Amino acid sequence: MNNTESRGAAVRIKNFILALILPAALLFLWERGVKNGSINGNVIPAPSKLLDTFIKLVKNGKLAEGLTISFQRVIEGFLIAAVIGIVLGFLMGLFASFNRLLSSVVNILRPIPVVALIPIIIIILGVGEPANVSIIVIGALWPILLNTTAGVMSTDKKLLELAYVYRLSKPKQYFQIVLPSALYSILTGLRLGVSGAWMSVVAAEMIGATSGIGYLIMFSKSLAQAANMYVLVLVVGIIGYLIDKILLILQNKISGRFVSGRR
Amino acid sequence: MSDNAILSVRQLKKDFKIGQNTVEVLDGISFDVRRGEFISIVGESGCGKSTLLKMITALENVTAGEILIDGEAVTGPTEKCTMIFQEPRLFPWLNVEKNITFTLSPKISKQEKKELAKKYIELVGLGGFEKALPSQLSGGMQQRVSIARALATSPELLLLDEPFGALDAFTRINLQDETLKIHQKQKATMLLVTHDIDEAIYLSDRIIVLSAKPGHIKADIKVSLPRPRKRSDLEFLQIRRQVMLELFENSSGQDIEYYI
Ligand SMILES: Nc1ncnc2c1ncn2[C@@H]1O[C@H](COP(=O)(O)OP(=O)(O)OP(=O)(O)O)[C@@H](O)[C@H]1O
Ligand SMILES: [Mg+2]
Repeated sequence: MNNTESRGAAVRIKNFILALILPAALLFLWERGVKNGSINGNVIPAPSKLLDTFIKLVKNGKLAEGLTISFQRVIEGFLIAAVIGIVLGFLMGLFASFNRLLSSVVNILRPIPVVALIPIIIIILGVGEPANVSIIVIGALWPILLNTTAGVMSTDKKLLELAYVYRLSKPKQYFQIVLPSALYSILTGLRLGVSGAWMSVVAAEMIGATSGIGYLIMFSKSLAQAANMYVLVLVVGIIGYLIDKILLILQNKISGRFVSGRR
Repeated sequence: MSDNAILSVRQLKKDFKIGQNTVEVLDGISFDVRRGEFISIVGESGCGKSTLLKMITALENVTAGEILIDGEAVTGPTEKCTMIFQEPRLFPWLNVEKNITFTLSPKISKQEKKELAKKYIELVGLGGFEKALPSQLSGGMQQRVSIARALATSPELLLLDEPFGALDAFTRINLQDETLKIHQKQKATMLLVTHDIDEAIYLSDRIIVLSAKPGHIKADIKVSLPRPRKRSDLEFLQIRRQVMLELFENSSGQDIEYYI
């Protein structure tokens, strides 16, 4: 037992090192390139410069300030999208006529990139928080809506037949049979929705905001502060990655007891 | 209709529309089931046995004719009648105990539900598995949970759609005996659909033979052998032969002995 466990740990360490080799080599070459002048440090600053800049942005509080505002917007927009997406998704999954009613509209709106909607939203709502949050809502909505619908529709018909024969009430069928059946799918939708919200907040702030991490990126660009820009973009990427990882763990924790019963 | 019939089926007809075609699945089905009787329905695959049970539970609507449970026309599922399906149909996220309490009437108190679950878990021989999830049980144990779940609702009429069909011979014979015990203890009326002629003879007071296209009642055979029955008794084999004759009469000119 112990033996295979420690072997598993060894394999994990080995894989971890393997995954790091290429990035480390690239960083090394990049640093060397800037130092010997074959890469223009004003356009692509050296990794050591980026690290310094990152520390500076952390110390002067700019990064924390921008992130706090962006997070607030993401949470607000995501929660609104979650409520709309889950409620509509549930109704679309349960009732074929409701599904037909909405699906044409959904299918036309869904492929439009959020960025393309930003100008329209700003014209309608003006620059400000309502516009920012609306953009995030749209960015998070589709995966939540679609995954909820699919999850509800995947409920085992045989269990619903059983519920009918045993005369279970409709609310009991919806909340205690359909909801648990759809839970894993809904959580997948929420996870993708948070990612969508995170991407949308950056886009929204780059175009129509005067605060937040997206705004900071545009601001650095206008001041030609290349190092700031790179650091901020990298931070956006790393945070997006971490959000997804954390939510995936959360999703599997929450649905653990349900998953164990899935075929 | 005899006065103590718990179930009366009158001139029942069922058509299905498949594309443009109307398929007659059942026609002219009439029979009564007396309170406390154990009835088996046998018939070739596709002759409409499951459809018949589904109509009794109102899962399918009736094309013509009527079904009465305790003298009342069936318009929806009733608490007097429950069905055990061919598959266990357990809720994978609920443990054994909760699977059983889940389908109990909301009028019953929590404490009472727990006690009922305990009683029926013991009855089907699953004591100690209260907290197990369905995925942690064998197929036979899962089917026993579904039997316990049905019995816990104390139905007066229990419909069983090939509940032992997917089980190995050993578990099947065990569950047949348990079902018989439960039938005697609970005084419930049971209507069993099966492919297994021995099972039908072993368990039933009467065997209804259905023939196909459209399904109609070919024979209604009384089994008055004393219990417990022995599958090798001469009378048992004679009834078996009689059922076989009814089942295979029209299928070909071959001698029936060939099948037995
Ligand atoms: N929902 C449906 N729509 C159309 N036809 C159906 C439907 N359900 C059943 N049928 C048809 O009704 C006939 C009887 O089906 P049923 O399931 O009652 O057969 P069965 O006697 O239970 O067969 P088996 O022994 O194989 O379970 C079949 O020919 C089937 O094709
Ligand atoms: Mg069937």
